[in-house]
Amino acid sequence: MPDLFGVVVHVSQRSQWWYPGEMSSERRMVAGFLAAVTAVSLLLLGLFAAWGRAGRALAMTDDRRPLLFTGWGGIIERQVFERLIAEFERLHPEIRVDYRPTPRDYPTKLKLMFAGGTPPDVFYLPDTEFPGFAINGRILNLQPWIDRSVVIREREFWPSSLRRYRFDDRVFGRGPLYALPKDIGPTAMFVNLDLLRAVNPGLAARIQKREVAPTLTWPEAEQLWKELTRDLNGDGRTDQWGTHGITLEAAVWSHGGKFLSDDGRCFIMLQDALAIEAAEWLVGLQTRLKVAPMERQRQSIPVDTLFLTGRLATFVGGRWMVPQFRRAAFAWDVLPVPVSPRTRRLAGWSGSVGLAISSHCRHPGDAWKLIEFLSGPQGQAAQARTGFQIPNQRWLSHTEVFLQPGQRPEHAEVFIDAAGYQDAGPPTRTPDDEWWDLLHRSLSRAYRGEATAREAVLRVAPDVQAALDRAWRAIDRERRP
Amino acid sequence: MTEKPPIRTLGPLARSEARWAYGFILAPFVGFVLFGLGPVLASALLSFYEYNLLGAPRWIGLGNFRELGGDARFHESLWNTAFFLLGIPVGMALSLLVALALNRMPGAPLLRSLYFLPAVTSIVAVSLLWTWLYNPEFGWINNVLSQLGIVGPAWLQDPLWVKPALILMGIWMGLGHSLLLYLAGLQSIPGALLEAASLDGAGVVGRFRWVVWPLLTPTTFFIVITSVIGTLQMFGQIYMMTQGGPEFASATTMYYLWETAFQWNRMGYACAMAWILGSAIIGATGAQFAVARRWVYYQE
Repeated sequence: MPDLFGVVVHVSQRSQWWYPGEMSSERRMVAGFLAAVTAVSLLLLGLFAAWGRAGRALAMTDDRRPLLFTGWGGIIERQVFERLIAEFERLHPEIRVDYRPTPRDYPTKLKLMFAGGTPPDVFYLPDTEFPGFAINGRILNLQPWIDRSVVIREREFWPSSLRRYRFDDRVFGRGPLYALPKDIGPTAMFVNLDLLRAVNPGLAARIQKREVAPTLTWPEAEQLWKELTRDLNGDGRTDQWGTHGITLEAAVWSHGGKFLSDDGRCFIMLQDALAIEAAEWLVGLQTRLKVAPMERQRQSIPVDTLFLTGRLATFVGGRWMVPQFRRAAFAWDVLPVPVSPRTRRLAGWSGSVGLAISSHCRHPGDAWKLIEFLSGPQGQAAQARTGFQIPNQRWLSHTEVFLQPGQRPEHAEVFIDAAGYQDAGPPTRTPDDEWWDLLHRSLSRAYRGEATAREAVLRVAPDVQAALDRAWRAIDRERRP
Repeated sequence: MTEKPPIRTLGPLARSEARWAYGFILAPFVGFVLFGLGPVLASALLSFYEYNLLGAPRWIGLGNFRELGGDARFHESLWNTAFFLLGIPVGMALSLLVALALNRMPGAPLLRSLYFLPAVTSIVAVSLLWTWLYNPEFGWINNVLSQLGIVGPAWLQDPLWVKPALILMGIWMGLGHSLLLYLAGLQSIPGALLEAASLDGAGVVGRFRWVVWPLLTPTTFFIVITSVIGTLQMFGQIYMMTQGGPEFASATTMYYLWETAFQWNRMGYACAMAWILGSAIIGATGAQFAVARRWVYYQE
């Protein structure tokens, strides 16, 4: 590699190029070099511009109206969408959909597309990113189209799947819809029935007899997990774990606790004894009861692999795990996430991805047609058949498209019920998720056993509130008349 | 009135050499003008704005810089980054030792290539490899330690061990590059000088102390400069292996900058951070150039 720095230093030290008057030959060379840099740069810029014009001219030869559609997903999801788009283009020959899935780091790339002035027309919008896009006016209000649609009927959707995409210009969760859910991903407790049968044959039999899947309370579940946590080879180290994956939201909400004030502006978890109690219980599964693998073990083997290899007896995860777990060599099924004995309230977190239209879209009517197709029965049926997701419409969830009889899980209705009672994560009610990230980072101390959950929350509470204040302040400034 | 300096002219050979030199540096300069200059200027401007990538930027003057002054996480990221600099002298000493061992040794080209392999391997691949080596239960390092009766730590999940672990990996990665430069430096030392030193009674240590080391100082200086800049910009392995964790213990300033800009959408604030980091890099480099006059020896 040429020593560029040395060359520049040499030239700048010796050429006297800054001195006005007659030019030395070195100074002339520097001037010539800068002229060459400018000329080549301009030439390349011209070539880039011509390239862009040629591309646009080529696109103009196609008299269909173009739509740029972006999202993410594995190979199966991409194949499903390619088929769906081909069908959509057949139904709407005047529209051409340019489908560009993004393999990794989607939210960053999406934001950069907007910042760079080349936003997609239709795109996946994760529910956690929704507030930022809605507040900044980057997505269109879909409500007028939804109200006129004969395909999309709001009442058929899971209410929680819609609530997370509502915004009334001040508060999230209320007002018109700015996106339609592509899917909803509630969580359930996957249970290895072979392991369960060894410690609790009665419960395993009840599950396998296709009775209603039982909901365990925390003490009942603790007892079960203790029995399932075992040192198999007698070396004093745990080889088989009881559980992993219960979310903080599931524990806190089921126990009757709260993270935020109703307007989403104040972090109240520290003052909410129930929330702290629930967090202590969750952390205690690792540190006190030792029925859940510590981070050390989870870093050694991914938890889905632990479950698939029979080293994790129960695992709280989303519907998207189903296709992977169908490869398991043992019998398994799903149960609802265990509930707090205090309330016995079913609660939990469900994820979702929305479909939204950019406010810069040149053909919003066409974009709506695409969303209507993908969120409608035809699009949803094709996506649900992959096994990854629950259809966003309730009636479709109760058909064979989703229930898929003959395939695991036998109690697929556990997911359907969960879609009804589980809710979006707290960051979907705040302008960004920095506060949530800070909270979880601090709680990692508690999960390692270096602090109690209360101490971890106490330590980070000022930073969490500061992050919330900062996020809301920016919004308030924008909204001030 | 300032006296006008004499006009200097270059001879035909010097002109020809200079033309080649300019030709070589033309491509990177054009690349910088086309792809670097705009973002540099934009980031300078945006550092005075509140900008979340999605909305319109809002002028806040020095607000971002003032906030950085009281940002405990920014300070922690600076401390973490400074900590990673500790790996530079260790890595340099090791590479010099290996270079001295390999210098004019049979089979050296093969060994040189082996040592250089990490330097040409993608940071992603290297990060994956070391993530496996550091695996607390099944990693090779903890397996070896367990043979010695030691329970190894969870290297990348323990706030105490994560920085030393990343430094160790950094040394392994950078060894080949520094080694190659030192070997080139060693092989450019005139044999006559070493012979003269021997005739004057200098032993191995004396020859190293009075001949080899002084003539290697330009190489050492170059390695110090590039390593310090590289470490201050450390990002890839943090992104791949720890995401700044556990609890921010491995978050470098570059990682915090990325997270602020793209995770939390605070681009204006991240730009201000970038300029402080850039200034630190320029300052550190300038300081090294200033001190270099006292210890770097250039052969005439």
